Amino acid sequence: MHHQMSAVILAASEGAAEHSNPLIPEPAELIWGAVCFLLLLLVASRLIFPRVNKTFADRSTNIEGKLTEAERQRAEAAELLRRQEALLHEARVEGQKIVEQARSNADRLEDELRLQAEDKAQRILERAQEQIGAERDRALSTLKNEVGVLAVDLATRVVGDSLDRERQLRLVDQYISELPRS
Amino acid sequence: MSLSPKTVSLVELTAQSAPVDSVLSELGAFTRAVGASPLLARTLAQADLPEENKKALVSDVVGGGFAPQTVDLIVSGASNASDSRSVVSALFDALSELSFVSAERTTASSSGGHDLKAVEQQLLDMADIVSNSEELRDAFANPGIGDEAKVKVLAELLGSRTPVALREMSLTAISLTHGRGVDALLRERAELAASRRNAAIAVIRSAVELDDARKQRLLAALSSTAGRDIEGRFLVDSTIIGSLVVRIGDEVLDGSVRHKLQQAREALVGA
Repeated sequence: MHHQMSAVILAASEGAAEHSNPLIPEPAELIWGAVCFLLLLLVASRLIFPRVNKTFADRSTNIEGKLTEAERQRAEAAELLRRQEALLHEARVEGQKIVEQARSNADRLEDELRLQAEDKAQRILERAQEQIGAERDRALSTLKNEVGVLAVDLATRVVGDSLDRERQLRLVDQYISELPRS
Repeated sequence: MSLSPKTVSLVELTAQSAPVDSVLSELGAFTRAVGASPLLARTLAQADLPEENKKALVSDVVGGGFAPQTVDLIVSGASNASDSRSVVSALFDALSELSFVSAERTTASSSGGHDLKAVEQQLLDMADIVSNSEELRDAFANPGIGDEAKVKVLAELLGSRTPVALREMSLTAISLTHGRGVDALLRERAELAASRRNAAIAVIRSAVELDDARKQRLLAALSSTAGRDIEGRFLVDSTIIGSLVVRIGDEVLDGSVRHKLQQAREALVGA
């Protein structure tokens, strides 16, 4: 570069000396410049551009893959959502059905329990009445028994005392006369 | 009493032709021996044992001392029994039958002695003696005293002047009942005797002693009711309070005041 610079400055000083217009480049300089440019272009096109291109292509492939993945996930999410909603609906319907059933079960159970309770109460009442009746009958029959025994005991004593021989024989005569005749 | 026709005809034959009293004694003694020996009873009850063998056995047992009619009667009478337990009962039946038949024959020939009615009375008297003696009843009912001892006691009590038929029947009744219910058995025999002459025995309970005129009237009325002659046994029982209770066989005509009061009580209680 230093050489080039010094060459340009030399050429300029020479040109200034020969030519009046310093803006016009020296033809040699143009040729060297063109050659160097072409060399540089060749090297770049051979070595650097393919690498840059490959890197771009890789990145774009990468980005495209991620996009597809994102799309798939979105679709999946949408599907999932749809399914969740269906499930939710189903669950709601099911829940309503269960509640309905529970309500009717509860109604039936309540009816049954009420009937049972009424039945039981009725039976308790009937048994109590029976017991009362039996108790009363027993008391009545005991009383009758006692009255009967007392009356007959009394009668026995009275009759036994009042039967003198005369009456005894009359009873015998009565027995004889009441015997059936064949 | 169920005797086979053969036994009945044997009894008839014996009553006609043999010294009945000795046959009765032998029959009674043998019946009591059977009562004491189950083995003898079992052997006699065996249906498949020929009569000849049984006769030989009986003769053997008594040592040949029995009249042949007695042996025939024993074998024939025992054949009526279905098992060894009822052999004694069957022999007792044969004994009763012979007693009754000979009593009937005595009446028919009217040579005095004991007619059937007298046998009946004796049986009832005997039954009453047993019933009314608590001591005797207790002794008879005591299972600790053997039948033989009971028979001995009764034999001594009866003495030697008792008619043979009554004596043998009473003694054998102990073997049959083992002492419990001798009186009932004798009464039953008396009723059997009565029924042979188309009569019945009435046990009459009254609260007070009855005079003879009333007794006769009652018996006449009872005969008319039952359609049979009535042999009356009169008892005084103050527990009936008043009137009469008459039992003829299984039938009870209860006119007692006690019974009427009982009915009144039942009517009151049952109402």
